[in-house]
Amino acid sequence: MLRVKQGDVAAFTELVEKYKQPIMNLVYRTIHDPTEAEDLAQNVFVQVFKSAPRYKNTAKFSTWLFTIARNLCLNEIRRRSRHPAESLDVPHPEQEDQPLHQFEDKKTFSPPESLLHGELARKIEEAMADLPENQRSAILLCRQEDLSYEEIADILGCSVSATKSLIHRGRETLKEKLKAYLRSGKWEKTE
Amino acid sequence: MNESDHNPLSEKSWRKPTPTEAAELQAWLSKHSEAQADWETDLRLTEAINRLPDAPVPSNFTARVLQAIERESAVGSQRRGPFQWWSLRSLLPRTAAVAVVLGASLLAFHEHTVAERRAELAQSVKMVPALSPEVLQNFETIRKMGSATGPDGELIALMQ
Repeated sequence: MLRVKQGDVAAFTELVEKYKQPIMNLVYRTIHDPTEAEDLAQNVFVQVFKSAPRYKNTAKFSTWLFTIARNLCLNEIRRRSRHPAESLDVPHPEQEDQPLHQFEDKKTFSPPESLLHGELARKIEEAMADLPENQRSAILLCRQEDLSYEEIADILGCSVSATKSLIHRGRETLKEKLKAYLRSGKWEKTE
Repeated sequence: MNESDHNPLSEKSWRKPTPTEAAELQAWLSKHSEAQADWETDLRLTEAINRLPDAPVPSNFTARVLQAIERESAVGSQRRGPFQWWSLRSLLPRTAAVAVVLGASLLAFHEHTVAERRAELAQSVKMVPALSPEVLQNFETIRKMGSATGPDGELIALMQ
C-alpha cells in the first residue's frame, strides 16, 4: 500500500488481484444484487486508489479495505431504502406487450443456481440473507481468517465483545433454521 | 451485549482452531460429554459457512477498476482545465498587479485633486493686488464702521 501511495500502479493491481474475491464475497452477500455487487466491488478499489495519499500505516490494509467495502454497502442499502425499486412488471407505454424495463439475462451469474450446490448451501444463503446486516457482516468477516476479532470490531465500528455477541447471535439463528441439516450431518450430500 | 451471552469456549468453533486450542477443546469435551453434540453442530455450521461458494468475479475485474480510475482522472482534469489559470499559483501575482495599478491610480487622482485645489487658491490670491489704495482707504473706513459699538463722533464730524 505504501508503494500505491507513491503511485505504483503495479502494486495497486496486485492488491486488487489479492482482495477482489473476498471483497466480492462480502459485497454480494450484503446487498444481494450481482450487478450492483460488481459495480460496488469495483468502486471499493477505486476509492482505495483515490484515498491512497491519505492512507496511514497505523492499521492493517485489509481492515481499512473491508471498512471501505462495508461503508459503501451500507450507503447502497440506505439508498435503496430511500428509493424503493420500481416494479419490473410495469408495461411499456407504447408497447403494452413489452415490459418498461428490460434487463440482460446474465446466465453466467444467476444466483442462486450458479452460486449454490446442494440444498444446505441454498438454505444457508437464505438464512444468511435473513439475518440483520450487522450479524451477517460479522459472520462473513469472521470467515476471513486473516482478520482478528479486534480488526473485525474496527470494521464494524463496535467493541470486541459486541462483535462476538453479533457472531454468536447470528450463528444461533442459523443453527435454529438449519438444525435439521446440521444435526443429521446430511449436509455432506449434494444434489 | 456482553460476553456472558455465550460460552467463550464456543468461540473456538467459529474458526479453525490452532493445535493448542484443539487440544484444550478436546480435553474440555472429554469432561463434558453432554456438550459433544452441540459442539459438533457448531463445527458443522462453521464448515458449511466456510464452504459457501465464492461469488463469481469477472475475469476483467481488475482492468475495469483501472479503467474506472482513468475515467475519473480524465473527468477531474477536464473540470480543472478551463479554470486552471485561476489557481492560487497564478492568482497571487495577478492580484498583486491589480493592487499596484489601483494604488497608482488612486495616487494620481489624489495628486490631481491637490493640484486643482492649489490652483483655486492661487486664483483667489491673484485678485488681491487689483485693489487700489483708494479702495483700501475706503475699506479701512468700512472696517471701522463694522467694529464700532456706538456712534462714532469722529466719523460724524468728518461727514459734517
